[in-house]
Amino acid sequence: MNQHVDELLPFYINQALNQDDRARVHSHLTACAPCRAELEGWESIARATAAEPGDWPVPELSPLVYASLSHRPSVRQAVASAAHLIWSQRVFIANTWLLPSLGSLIGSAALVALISRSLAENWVNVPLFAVVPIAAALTTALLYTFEDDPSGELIAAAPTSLATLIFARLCLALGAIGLMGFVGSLLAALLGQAPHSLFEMVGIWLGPMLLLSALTTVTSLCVHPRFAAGAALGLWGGLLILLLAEQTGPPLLRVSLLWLLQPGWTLFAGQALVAGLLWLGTWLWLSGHPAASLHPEGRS
Amino acid sequence: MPSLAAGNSGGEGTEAHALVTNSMRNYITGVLDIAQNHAADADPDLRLMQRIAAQDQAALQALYDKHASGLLHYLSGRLGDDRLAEDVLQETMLAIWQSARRFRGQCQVRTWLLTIARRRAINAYHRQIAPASRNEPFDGDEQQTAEQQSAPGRYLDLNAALLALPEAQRETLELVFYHGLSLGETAWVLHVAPGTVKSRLHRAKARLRELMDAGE
Repeated sequence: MNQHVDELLPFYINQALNQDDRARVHSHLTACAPCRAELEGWESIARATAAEPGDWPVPELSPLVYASLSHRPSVRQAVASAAHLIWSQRVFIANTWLLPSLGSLIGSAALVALISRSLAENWVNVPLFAVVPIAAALTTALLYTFEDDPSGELIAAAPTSLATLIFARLCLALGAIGLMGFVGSLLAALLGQAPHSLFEMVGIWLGPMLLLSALTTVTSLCVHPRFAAGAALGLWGGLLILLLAEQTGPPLLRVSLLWLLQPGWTLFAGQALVAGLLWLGTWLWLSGHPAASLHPEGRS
Repeated sequence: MPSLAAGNSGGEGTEAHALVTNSMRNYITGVLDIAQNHAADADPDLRLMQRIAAQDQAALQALYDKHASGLLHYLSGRLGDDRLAEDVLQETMLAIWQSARRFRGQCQVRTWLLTIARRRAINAYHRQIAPASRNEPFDGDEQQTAEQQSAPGRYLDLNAALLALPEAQRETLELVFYHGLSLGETAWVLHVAPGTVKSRLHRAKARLRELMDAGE
């Protein structure tokens, strides 16, 4: 008995084979008695499975469905629906880098509050600047994990598009990390005698957080989540090394990078604008692609 | 009762989950290719889908008239509750209306309808049946309930023996022989690799033979 033909017998019976396979199976069956016996077995199963248990009363399409077809949600309903979708992603977030990230943020905030009392004032912004953007970027890299994403089936079969799902997760993850960063800045401002206002301190890490997360979103979807996480770590780690070297001794570069640690609304607005454009482009790109085509294996 | 959770969203550690992960290349290159071979060009429902995407309610009614019976049969089989199945059928039609614009003809419309119905059934199962019963016998891909762990040779009737199969195997048989899906379409609906469909079919056949051996 030909094993490959044997596997096709159920689809020979239900006539779902293409012409070539059908002809091949048909030809094989004329010469192979064991396969014909197998076919008879499958035919019995097919008859039993397909047997209709009497009439199947089908209800009318519900008036409630018809009422919903032309229903346009109000702004309030749309906001509530979006909030529900974002909140529903908390299960995914809980399984990623978010919780360790939050712990790191709280720890760094406490550290800021303590060391800023005794060290030079230009160190105050370093811990949150170092931690928040990379925590956000690593969480962002794993927003959609392709091959084992728990939402795979949902994406395949529900009105929730991949773009909507990814940006719901992005909102939740960045919102949570941003909130913790804000609390850290607040603690530093209250306890650390910081030289800047609270909002200036937030702007120092918020801009890089948005920019690095947006870059990671693009890299994650265009290349691979693991590559994006590694690239973000490398980029941010390199930048921190340069900054710390400049803070503690002779700079490694001819150009000073310390301006990154100084509050500046122009700098923040530029970072936020570039991040917004990257995310807008990502949204438009995702909207034109089915989920499967984004998989790295599928693109090859 | 059904193994709707088999191979679905939260199935960490399940066989289906592992198979989907490990054979993603097969899933992408195999399922898509096979499904596309049967796709839009020859699909008589494609015109209806285009009209639904253009917000034509009459087209939705026409699609419902054509497929409601099959979908209801599928949903009742999965949920074991005709009333709930009817509710899920209505939810499915609403989901079709809302997502018709995103249908890209990667598979037959019928396959897509079954996929949406399955997802809706899984949601309904977790929302309405699982919390009440506090019983999750469906985490395993082909896990058998106590009733299904029948002694060999217990059944004389093939129809009765079919009911004793693990849900994942019965669902696969139904998609192939009741709904007439191809290998790729069945894999698409179940969200598993084509190889998993083949192995489920053959395990189902072996199990049926085992259940009926003493009766022959």
